[in-house]
Amino acid sequence: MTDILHRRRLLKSAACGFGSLALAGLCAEESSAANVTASNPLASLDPMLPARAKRIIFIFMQGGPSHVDTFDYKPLLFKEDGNEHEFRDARVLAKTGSIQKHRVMKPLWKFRQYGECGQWVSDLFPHIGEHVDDLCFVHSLHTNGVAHGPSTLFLHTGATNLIRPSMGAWVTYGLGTENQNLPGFITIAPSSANGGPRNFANAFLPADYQGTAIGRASQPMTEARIRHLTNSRLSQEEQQRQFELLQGLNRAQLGDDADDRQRAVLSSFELAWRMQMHAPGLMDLSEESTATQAMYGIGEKETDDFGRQCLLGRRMAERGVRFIQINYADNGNNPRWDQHSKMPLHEVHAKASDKPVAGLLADLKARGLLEDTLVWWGGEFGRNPFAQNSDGRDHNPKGFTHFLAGAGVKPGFAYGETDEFGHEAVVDKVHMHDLHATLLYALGLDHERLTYRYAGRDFRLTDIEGRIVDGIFS
Amino acid sequence: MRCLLMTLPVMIAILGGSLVADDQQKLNFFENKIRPVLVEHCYECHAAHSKQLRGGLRLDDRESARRGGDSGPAVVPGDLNESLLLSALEYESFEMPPRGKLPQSVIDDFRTWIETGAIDPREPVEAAGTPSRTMGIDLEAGRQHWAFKPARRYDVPHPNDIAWCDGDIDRFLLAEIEAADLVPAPDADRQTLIRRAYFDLIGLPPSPEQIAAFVDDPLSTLDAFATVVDELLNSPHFGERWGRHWLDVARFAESTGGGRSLLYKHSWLYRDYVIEAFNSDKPFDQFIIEQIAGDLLPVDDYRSGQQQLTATAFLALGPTNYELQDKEQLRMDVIDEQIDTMGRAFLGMTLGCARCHDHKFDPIPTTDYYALAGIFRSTKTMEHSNVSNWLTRELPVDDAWQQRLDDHKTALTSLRAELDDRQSQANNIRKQLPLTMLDDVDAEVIAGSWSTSSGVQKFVGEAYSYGGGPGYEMRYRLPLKSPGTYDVRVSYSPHENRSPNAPFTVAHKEGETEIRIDQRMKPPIDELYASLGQFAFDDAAVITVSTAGAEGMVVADAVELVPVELDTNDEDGGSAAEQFAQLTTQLETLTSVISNLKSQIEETEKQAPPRPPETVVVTEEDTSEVGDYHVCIRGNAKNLGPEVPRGFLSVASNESGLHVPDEASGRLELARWIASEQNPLTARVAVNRIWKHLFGAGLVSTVDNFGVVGERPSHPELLDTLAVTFVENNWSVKSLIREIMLSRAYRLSSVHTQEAKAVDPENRLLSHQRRRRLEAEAIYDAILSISGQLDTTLGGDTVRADTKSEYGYEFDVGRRAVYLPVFRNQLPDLFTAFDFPDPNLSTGKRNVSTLSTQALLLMNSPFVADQARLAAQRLLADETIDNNARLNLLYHRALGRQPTAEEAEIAQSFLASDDDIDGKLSLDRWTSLCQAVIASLDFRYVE
Repeated sequence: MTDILHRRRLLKSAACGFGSLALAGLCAEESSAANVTASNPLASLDPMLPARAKRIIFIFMQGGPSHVDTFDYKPLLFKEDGNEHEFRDARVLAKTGSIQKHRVMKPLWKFRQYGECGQWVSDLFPHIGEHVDDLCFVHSLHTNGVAHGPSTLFLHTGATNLIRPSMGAWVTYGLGTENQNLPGFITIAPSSANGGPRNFANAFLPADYQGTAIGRASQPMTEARIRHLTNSRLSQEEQQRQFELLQGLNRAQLGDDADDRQRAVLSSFELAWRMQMHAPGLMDLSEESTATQAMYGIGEKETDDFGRQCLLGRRMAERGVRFIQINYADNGNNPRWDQHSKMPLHEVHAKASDKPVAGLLADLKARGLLEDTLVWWGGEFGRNPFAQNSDGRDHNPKGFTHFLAGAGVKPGFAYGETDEFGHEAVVDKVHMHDLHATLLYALGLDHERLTYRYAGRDFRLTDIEGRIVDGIFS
Repeated sequence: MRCLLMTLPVMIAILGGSLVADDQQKLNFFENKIRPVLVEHCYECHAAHSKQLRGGLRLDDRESARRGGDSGPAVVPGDLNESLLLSALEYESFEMPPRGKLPQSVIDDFRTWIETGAIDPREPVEAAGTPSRTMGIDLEAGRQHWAFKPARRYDVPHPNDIAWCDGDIDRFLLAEIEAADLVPAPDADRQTLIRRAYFDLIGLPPSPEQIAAFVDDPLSTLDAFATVVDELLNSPHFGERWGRHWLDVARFAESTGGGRSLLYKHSWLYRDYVIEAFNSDKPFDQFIIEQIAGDLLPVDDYRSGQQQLTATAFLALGPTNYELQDKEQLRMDVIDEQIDTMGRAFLGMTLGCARCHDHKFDPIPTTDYYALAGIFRSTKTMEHSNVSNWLTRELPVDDAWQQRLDDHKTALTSLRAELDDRQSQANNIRKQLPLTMLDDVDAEVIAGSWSTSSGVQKFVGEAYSYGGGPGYEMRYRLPLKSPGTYDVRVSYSPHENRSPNAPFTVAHKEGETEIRIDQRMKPPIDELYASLGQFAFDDAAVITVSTAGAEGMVVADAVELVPVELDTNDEDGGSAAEQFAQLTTQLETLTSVISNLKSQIEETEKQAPPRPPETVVVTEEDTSEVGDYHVCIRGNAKNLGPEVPRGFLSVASNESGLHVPDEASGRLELARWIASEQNPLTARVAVNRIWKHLFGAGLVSTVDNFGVVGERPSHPELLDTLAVTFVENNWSVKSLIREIMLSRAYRLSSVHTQEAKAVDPENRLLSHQRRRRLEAEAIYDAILSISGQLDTTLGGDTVRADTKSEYGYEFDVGRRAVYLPVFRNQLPDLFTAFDFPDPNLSTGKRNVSTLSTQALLLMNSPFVADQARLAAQRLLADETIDNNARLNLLYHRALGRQPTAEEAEIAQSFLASDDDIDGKLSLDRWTSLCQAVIASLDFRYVE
């Protein structure tokens, strides 16, 4: 039996004489913890490659926002509205292998050009539209799975059905975190559906790299907390006394033959105590000026909740949290952006998220944080350019849009294209594996070398796939 | 044709002369149109110097391109259909290049090139490491790996200090310890030993009384300890502890996980089956066979039938994304999960690696994988629909219960048969009645464009008509043979969007009557018709339906006239009326018989004996799909290679190896092959798992991997001898545990010397015991035993009855941890913090992490705080003892020992540091102290 605590530090201490992370995993699994010095698995590590970004803020739009109604402008849809055309619909193909005719449905919102770059954005996102000169759109994404569960897991873990670590876990495994008083990977208000915790779990990576949830989907942000971070039963003084009692007993129990793991238990209490002192401050948004809060739409009915999430995201970035996920999510099997019918409901979700996201972009930029923070916006797939039911759209994993901002990605730029209907990515296609590889690359991690040995095999986020999309970097 | 075309370039070459110019032209075409495209778009992944060669395909020389990759030839000169390169460029077979389809003009160039003979001057390029499609596994060489050789019994060594040894295990171990110039650690003291034994065997701490009884036992330590071990082996809590070890390996859970996590509902039966198997010391080979093929075994009695059926949940309970839309992919994913879990659990092999290619380390060719896949494809694990379903079956029950079920079924069947009979008699009579019916298709549309539909049940004929808003009218004209009084009935399919006041007008002898019908309500007659009332008619009835003044949708379906009384007709001398009266009387009698039968059936249904519980299973009831399967090239379920006969692992089978009968899936044969004493892996893997739980590490430290990259056994001869003994003892787990626990090695202190640390830092030689951190469940149960809250009820369904989904589930407190529901997306906080294994993955060796989340949980969670308070109340309840005695009691309950002088001082000064008299503060203080002891280092470790 060996402790996983020191596993990754083997890379640095090279106790086993190997240089790669995979072998670190292997040799810690199968050698003694005793010959490894106790060290912190979350200590900040130098990236493998020159890094553009130090951290990522991923804004997850759960349910599949329609790219053809938001950022991927296709004039042909207006012209062909109501006409039947053959489409290789992903769901029909998966189920029947056949190609059928579908009725084209035009976007329900007007598009207009914004900024110097003149990129098109629909009237769903007037505030984000104001920032297009900072955004890099990827219009040619495609992914695996057709249903929410598989595709959501694929977005987060690179696998639809197999058990794999979440991207945030890989990133903290590869880079550690900058602030030892806070978790390295935090997800704000995550959904419990469509994979739920698997979307921020460590799977076979050491538990140190699992995401920490703050609050949960559908819970008001004003009530969101990290589990067990505070003690509601004891006053500060009483808890202080109890903590001293506990550590006193622990020191007394630490015998002459104490091993590193036992000492690490004492350190874990120290860290927990520091976290308990620091994290509540992080959550206290009243420290922010009224102007800042207003920028995120805090105080306005529609945007208050998501505005709080976004502002919290910035505060984490500021404090050096490595991977921050902001979830626009709920706990349904048909999640928020999932309009199989009643596409007009997209407006509700756009309203709730447009100003907060725009506020975050503006705030990060104003504080210089956009220099080394990579903002990533998107859902598990897009939606079809043709109708489902009378006024809905089904899932489209074959072509959709995400956008990136900050940390050396080309601003005011669009990469890749879908076909003229916006159904399938056709030019400069970017598979989700490619996007994962590219995001890791931005952080200075080589997706082919960020591996972990488990059950006799080296695993990576991108499986055996993934290519870095150079074209999006300045 | 294909042959002819293929030889065309050769013919051209031979003809020479006049065709040289043509050749040159083709060459130019290749150089200008084809080569640059290949270089730019294909070489990155399909050339000798590609960083990573994909699909086994190289396109950088002529021969490689023609030979092709894993999926077949890429370029077949002259044959457009057989050239995979072309269909890949067309995005038909593959989608290449992956970044985007090339312009159609470029693809047309390739078409031309292939059509005209695919002239290609490129000579073979030497690849850095020549890739080959299969890695050419050498099974004979593979069999030389220690784990594939048969296990055998070895002579017991003769160490110098033979007196130290209590048994053969000690002699094997001591020989190695002496060889390393070490001496074993001293024996652990009795209070350390009994705490270790309790946690190891039943997962609970010994009570202060149990500790005292053992410490004060006048017998020798070995004899006294043997008594304790036997008691604990016979405790029902033994199965709870050791069953849980197996549930880790079986990745047991009560929900499906995946995207849309669904509750399995019945999987607790499998958990209880496992616990019972360990308690009853079910022979381990039988345990294996039941889990792989219990459904195919003969059934001795209902109890073994229940166990055998329940055991197959092992194969069915994997984490599965049942909503995956590509059902073929889903099927192969589930098979993969079954193969992988089975391989790890029983054979210590990572078989899943061979899904896409030959195993990189172990001698497992991908054909072996698909030989197994054929077996599991011949077995049914789910029913497909948009979100597919796992399968359940009712358990067999005892004779008395079965008799009741059968009797009930017989009674119902006979009642229903009689009902059918009577109803058909009644129908026959009805047919003779002068009924008159007109469906909407035959009615006359007066106004409006009525829509037709068959969307809502029930209706007459093929469809019904409906209309909403003003301006719809339809007229039914029904001629009558006999004048008289009729019941006028209209049919409609009810729905909430229907009209609550659909107007019908009946023109009859006395005039016209309008009747409004609420079509949202279910029609009262046969759920099809509603009566408009009884009216007298002469030679015809006219009924009109419209939407005038109606809200919602008005349905116009059929109109039926049922005679009530016919006027005596002079022409036929009244015979029609007479006959009618006769028939109505018969019908009345029958109607009352029928209604009587219906209520009897209803009554009988109510008295149904309870159905047997259902369990999650795999099944082979439908054998139509039994057969071999293909290799899926690179693991792609849609890219089928050659068919492979069903079979087992070649490397671990001897020459005469079993074979799979044509008509059977081979699952039972597979189970027997795994559980055979001839199988070199199975007994070793099982013995090693048991050893691991008693020493903290296996003799093979990679308990789930006995393959080439797994660790070698530290004591191969001991492992083999134990494996042989295990099989000889009828695969008895309890006997093996007993033998190990009564070794001297088990009883050693975990304190090690500097020499031992220097020579053997991992303690592979076992010169001392290992200090081990308790598992989440043991920590949880120990907390509840200190607080006095532990409910030791055995078994049963513990998911609260009203539970629809695991999301937001609040776990009840009280039962042992093994009975807390295991949901794949939601576990108790304490489980998550203390390394409870991910129930998505088969786990033989849990992680042992030290995390700040553990500290936060112990300091701040309401669960720990509540239990600490209860523990404090329990201590304070006895007013006859003082704080010193209380502290002693707390330490014995929590840590199995006295506090040291230092600890006592720290604790006493904490307790004394206030001048509380009224007891309230005292309870708070004791609560804090109890919580601190629970959080302290020694609580979570076993020495």
